[in-house]
Amino acid sequence: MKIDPTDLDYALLRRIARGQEDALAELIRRYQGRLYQLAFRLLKDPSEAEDALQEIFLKVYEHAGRFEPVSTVSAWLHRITANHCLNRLRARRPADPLDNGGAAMLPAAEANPLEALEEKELSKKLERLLTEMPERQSQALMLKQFGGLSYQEIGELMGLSPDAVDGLIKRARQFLKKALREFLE
Amino acid sequence: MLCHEVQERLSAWLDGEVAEDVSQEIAAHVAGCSACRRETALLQRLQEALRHLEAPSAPDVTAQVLARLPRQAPPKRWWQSLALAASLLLGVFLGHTVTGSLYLVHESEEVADVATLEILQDFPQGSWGALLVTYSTEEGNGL
Repeated sequence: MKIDPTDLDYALLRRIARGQEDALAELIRRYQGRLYQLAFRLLKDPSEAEDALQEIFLKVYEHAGRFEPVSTVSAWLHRITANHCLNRLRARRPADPLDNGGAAMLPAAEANPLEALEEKELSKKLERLLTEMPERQSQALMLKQFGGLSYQEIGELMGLSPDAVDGLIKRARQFLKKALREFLE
Repeated sequence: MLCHEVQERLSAWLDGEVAEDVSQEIAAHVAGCSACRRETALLQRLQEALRHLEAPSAPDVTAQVLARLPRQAPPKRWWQSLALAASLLLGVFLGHTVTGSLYLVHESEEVADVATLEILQDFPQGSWGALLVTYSTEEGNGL
């Protein structure tokens, strides 16, 4: 009988709630890659993302008994990760001004835009653009892209309405699309 | 729906964040509109490029996390509890042996008689007065 991965995660969480460390080790093995990706995208620093990852799994161990199976374990873990990283960002520096409608600067035109870019070059360009984007737009887009969270969930984490989250993500994508149009078509 | 209305909603539509009836309208429009189909393709290509972004290799934090888990005092083993009980009993036994009593007062005729005799004496047993009387008596007896 094939075990549903979701059920396995829930079984692991129940064992973690009873203090079983081998279950925690298994959950870490299954999720540290994905959660690290999200943490890195939000914190933009590899060592800080690693610290955050440890703290996130310690929180999971502490709160495993409180998980209610109304959502998947994966969604719960991603929400914890997002919340933890956003709190670290708020503690790190003052709140960034609210995005006011996409005043992001566009990058300088490439010398030869007709030159075909390989996937690797496209990724490098995309990485650069993500750092130039207003931070709220970047956070909302990363939470959607790497966290798989709904607009409602993202809004709760960022203190915004779902419509405001829609606006942030839409402007983020418009910014990237404009800058990369020649390479995406 | 008009093109500008559809393109305004394309981002949310691709994220599955529009109502079912609106989603069907958008899908129908995109199927019949080359401009909106092109915009949809660009957004999908962008999503694919984001998915392929490289991140630094995820570190294995298992050992660090397990090392930082809160530790409770280990439960006592059965022989430790037994050793503790034996120590207590030994202490009580030794105390009895040294002092000659268990500090328990038992009502007995002998005790009651001694108590009565003590009341009648000028100096109760164990008192300094009794000691002086005894000593002087011994001297008087030429001891």
